Amino acid sequence: MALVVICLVVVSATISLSFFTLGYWMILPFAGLEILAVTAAMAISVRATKDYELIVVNDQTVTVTKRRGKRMVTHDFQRYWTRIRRERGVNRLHPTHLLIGSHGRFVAIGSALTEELKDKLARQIRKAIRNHYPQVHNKVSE
Amino acid sequence: MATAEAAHHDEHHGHPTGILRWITTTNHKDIGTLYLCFSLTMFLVGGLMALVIRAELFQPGLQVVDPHFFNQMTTMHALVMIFGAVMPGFVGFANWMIPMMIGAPDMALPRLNNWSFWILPFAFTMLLASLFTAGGGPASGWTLYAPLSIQGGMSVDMTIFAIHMMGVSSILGAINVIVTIFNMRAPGMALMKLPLFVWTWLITAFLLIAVMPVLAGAVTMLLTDRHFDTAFFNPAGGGDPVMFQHIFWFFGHPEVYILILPAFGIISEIIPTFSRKPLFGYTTMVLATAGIAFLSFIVWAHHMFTVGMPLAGELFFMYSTMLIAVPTGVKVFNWVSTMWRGSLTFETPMLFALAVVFLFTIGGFSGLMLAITPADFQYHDTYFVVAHFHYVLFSGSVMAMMGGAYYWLPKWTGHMYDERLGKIHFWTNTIFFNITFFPQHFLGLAGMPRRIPDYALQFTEFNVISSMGAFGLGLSQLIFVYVVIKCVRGGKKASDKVWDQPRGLEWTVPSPAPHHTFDTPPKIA
Repeated sequence: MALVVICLVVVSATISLSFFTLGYWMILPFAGLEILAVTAAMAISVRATKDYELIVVNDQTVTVTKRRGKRMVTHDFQRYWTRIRRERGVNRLHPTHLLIGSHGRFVAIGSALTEELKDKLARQIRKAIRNHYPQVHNKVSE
Repeated sequence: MATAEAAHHDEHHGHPTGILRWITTTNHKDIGTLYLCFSLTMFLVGGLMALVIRAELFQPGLQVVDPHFFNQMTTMHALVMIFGAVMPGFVGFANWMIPMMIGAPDMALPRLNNWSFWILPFAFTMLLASLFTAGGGPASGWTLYAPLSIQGGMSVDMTIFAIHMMGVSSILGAINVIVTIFNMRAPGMALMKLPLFVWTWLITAFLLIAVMPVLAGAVTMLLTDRHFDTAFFNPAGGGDPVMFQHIFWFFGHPEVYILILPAFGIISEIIPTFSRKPLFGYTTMVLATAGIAFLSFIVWAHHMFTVGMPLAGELFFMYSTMLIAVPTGVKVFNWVSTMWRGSLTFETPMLFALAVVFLFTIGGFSGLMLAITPADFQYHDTYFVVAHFHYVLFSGSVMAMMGGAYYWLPKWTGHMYDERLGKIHFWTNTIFFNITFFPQHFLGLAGMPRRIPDYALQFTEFNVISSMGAFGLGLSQLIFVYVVIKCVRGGKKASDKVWDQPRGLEWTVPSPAPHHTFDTPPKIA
């Protein structure tokens, strides 16, 4: 990826500096801005490809691990009390939020997903949590 | 209870509908549709301007418009067609097809994608509004050559601002294409497995990144010459107007390839499908595309052989220009070889693809004639040049887009288009195109200059033929609009594969392609 950016920088700099030396300097700032934009877009996209959210449902707990860039945060919830919630965005033009949590403590998950995929994810997590309930009830009844 | 509560919440979200859906969308298919609709609209607007030009040239003398308005029409026709019809059209194809072809769920930067489209309507409102300013629209030709453009009215400033906006839109689009192709490919989709359309767009995006700042800088220097007493190009202050031409064409020639390389990509998708064979010489096609892109940086001065250059310069640009015939020839050879002994069928997309190969080659040959410096001294600024670039840009870029639209319409809409009407559109379009532009070769060779509203009597017959062809060509596009609308509204249900033996990931998704595709990356063998 760095090679791609370097190639673009070399080509763009060669062109704009050539005109600069001839006195036509106004091409240089445009080229500079553009290369900054390309580099930023590449960096943001590359960083985003390493981001992830991992949701693990165990007998007792639901663990949500979120990685954003170099930051990694883990949240643990009691499985029996874990709830999935949807909240509206600021207004109807903003995406909804998918929240997971319990006891009044909720974290947003799947913020990069489409609305349909948020629905699907919510259903999958509920199913995963619910599938343990009979075992719990069985244990209680025993 | 938790489930019931959550289900209750689920009902409260949804996509914006109506116009808000289109304004706020970040979906690559929606944005692709917006680009394609915008491109078609601009194509019709630019086409109407062309008809004003051809109506005036129907016979010698001044009948329809005054010379100044005629100049505005030639300028605006080119700007609208290049920046409004062809470039956004290809970006529309890129938006629709690149994510589906590489197995990505969307473009890498969807919000940026939305922004790059929505700049365009404002840019073109600004550009077209310049026609209504005091003194009329820009009339210096789309090249905005100094010092004529320095002397223009307020419309030139509006044009410069509009060009800046179009440039920003193009750059953002190019950035998105590059980032998407490098970061969003499905696992196993190696670079040398990319469909040719994706390759040609990747190289086009690199060209855009390389040359758009040159255009932006050039028009900004023009602006400061006009209003801030600089003298980059203004000879009255010691500036060099010829240098504007060098700078402009350093952008302008790669721009020509920006307009044609994605067309090559579309043709390279269509021909194998209807030949029922893999593309012949995939690697050489990729290398030829890259070769054409490289050469585009070292040929710009063939547009200005007559301005005065050292003999060595004339020779260099002549030979470098002729060199472009080599990679282009490789492409034509590979397309023909793909068809060789294939099980050919001639549905509308294939007819368009064949016409592009044949007619673009004619444009390529007239380009070779123009590349010969001493011959160019005769052809320069004549109708021969007009004929040449319409054979390249109309029968190359525009007809490739039409072929591409017929090829992918069933995938986009879920309906088969009307094949009979499609073929009628193809034949009327192609016949009238040739009636319009082939006689212009003869006009140019006989010495008729371009960009004039009146002409000597000996040019009458070919101009009459050309104008009649132009009106036929314009009318034939109404068939295209009707076919597209009819296909969007209904028709025979298209299968997922649509064609007999198509290749590529886009044919593995249902027709019409769902709003979201490849949420889970496909596996590439």
